[in-house]
Amino acid sequence: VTSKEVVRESGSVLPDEAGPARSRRFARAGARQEGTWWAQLREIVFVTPVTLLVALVILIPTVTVVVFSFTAWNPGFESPFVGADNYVQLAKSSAFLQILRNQAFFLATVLPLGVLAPLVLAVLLHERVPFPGAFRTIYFFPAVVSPAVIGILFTFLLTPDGPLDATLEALGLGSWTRLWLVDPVWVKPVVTLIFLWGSIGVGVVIFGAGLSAIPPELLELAELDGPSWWQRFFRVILPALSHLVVLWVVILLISTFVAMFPWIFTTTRGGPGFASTTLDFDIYRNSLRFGFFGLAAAEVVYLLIIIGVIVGLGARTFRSRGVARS
Amino acid sequence: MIGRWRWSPLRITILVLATIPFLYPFWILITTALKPLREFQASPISWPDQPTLDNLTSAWREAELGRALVNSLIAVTVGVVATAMISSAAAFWFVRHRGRLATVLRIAIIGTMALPPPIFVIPLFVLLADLRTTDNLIVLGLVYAAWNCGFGLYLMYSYMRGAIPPEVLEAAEVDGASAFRQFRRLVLPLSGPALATLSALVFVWSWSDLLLAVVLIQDPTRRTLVPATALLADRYLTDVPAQAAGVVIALVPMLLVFMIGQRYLRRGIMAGIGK
Repeated sequence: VTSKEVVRESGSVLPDEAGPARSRRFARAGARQEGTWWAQLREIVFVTPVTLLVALVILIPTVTVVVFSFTAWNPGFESPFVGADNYVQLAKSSAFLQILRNQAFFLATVLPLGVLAPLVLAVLLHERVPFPGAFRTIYFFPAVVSPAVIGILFTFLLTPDGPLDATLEALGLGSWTRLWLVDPVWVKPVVTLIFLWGSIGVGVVIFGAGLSAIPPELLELAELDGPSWWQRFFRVILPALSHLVVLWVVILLISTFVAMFPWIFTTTRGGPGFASTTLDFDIYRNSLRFGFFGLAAAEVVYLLIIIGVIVGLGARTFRSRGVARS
Repeated sequence: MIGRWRWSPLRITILVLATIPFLYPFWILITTALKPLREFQASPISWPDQPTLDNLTSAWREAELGRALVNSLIAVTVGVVATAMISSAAAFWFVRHRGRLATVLRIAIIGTMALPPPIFVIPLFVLLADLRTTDNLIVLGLVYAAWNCGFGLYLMYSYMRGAIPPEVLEAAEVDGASAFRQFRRLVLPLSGPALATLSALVFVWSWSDLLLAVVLIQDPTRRTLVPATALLADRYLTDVPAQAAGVVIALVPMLLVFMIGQRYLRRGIMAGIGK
């Protein structure tokens, strides 16, 4: 996750409806007073650009892709209707099953590590340490760097006999060297770690903000009670941050499906074989590399369904927690 | 900050250890970019014997990262300016109009945040190819704007409702100021902080983009910086110092934005999570 997915996804999880009633008065006044229908009509230019742009760039293409997923899509030529053929072909292909397994792996590794690491760092930073700002800057900076650039950086760090291997040798850990991005066993964990490297800074910022909102007395009380650090972490801090944890989980979940492209494109190109191919990378490869636009369209539909389920579950958890808390 | 809790050497040690994986890659990056290939092959992790800028100058000239940087600036500037203008104008309209239709439209636009580029990039490419508007940096910038408008509207709308007192707008309305005049004279000047946050975020996101740029721009002379760097890494597969130089050049603008806008970026994340 870069900071992008955060704000992006959180928007849909947290619809903004909390505005004060006072401005409602103005809304009515604005609609009434502006007077002539002509003035009202002229005002439409305020929303025309956004509507056109979003319709042309996002909505129409999304509808197109759903429709064409039921055809042998061949841009520029006739695309005959083929029913569910693309979906059946995907379900039968071993490559697609491998991709789903990869996605499951990324989910299972990114989620626990991606939640726990920034939480622990944020809590440690929130306690009394020197130069918290410097630490925060160091953890946060990678989140601002393009995932693709991070991918290139790690690709050369991890080349065989490259800097990481040399560092391990220098530390007397020569037997730990691996073909990090080539060995089918190691490639997925390594991609997970690179992804986390570029993502947890955002988590630290989010949880840091959440921690500052907890009344300090609560934490002090918990400490006076004398449970261990971990008990305090799980009994006091985690429940107090639960809404942010749910939000962050949703962000990470969605990112492992829709934000993997730049990481995969720059580190492994999905290889070796299909060992590290993700759904979003395969959409790109199927369509623009191999010309199987219909298959790619069906994969997009799967992706849409997955996003829908995650956002739906997230919103629901969020709402029920929200009610329980208040 | 909790006054009672003692400084604990353990906590500080963990925090310091956690910085190593973050600092180490940058250290290697800099040392690698500054040494000749032969020296890198002999000793990949040492500080260069005689630091040289050759890798950087050749990446700049031969791999044409200089031109790619200019291309990125064009596309990203269009994206940032268009997002800021379009979403603040729309947010103002939605502040004035709260009918059912307007609400549906607002939620639909904000809802496009759930449709990320992997969903729409392929059909968009087909559409733009039909219109012969691929390989166009202005179009790429507008695509960045469309992609960010959902968030832009969300941010600007929440901000305007919270930070601009309706009484001020009402007074302007009574004085006979048109919507356009109110927007220019009151709303835009009062929305400064939100616009700064939005611009910083949109800059970082668009600048970092690989997928849209790789798909929508295929003419090598129009390539933006991130894809150009990624393809440089392909071309100089074994010349690691050349790759490192490319990464350094791609990093510098992000570092600058980070130093100038860190505060806004953090604030943007907070705004995004509803704080």
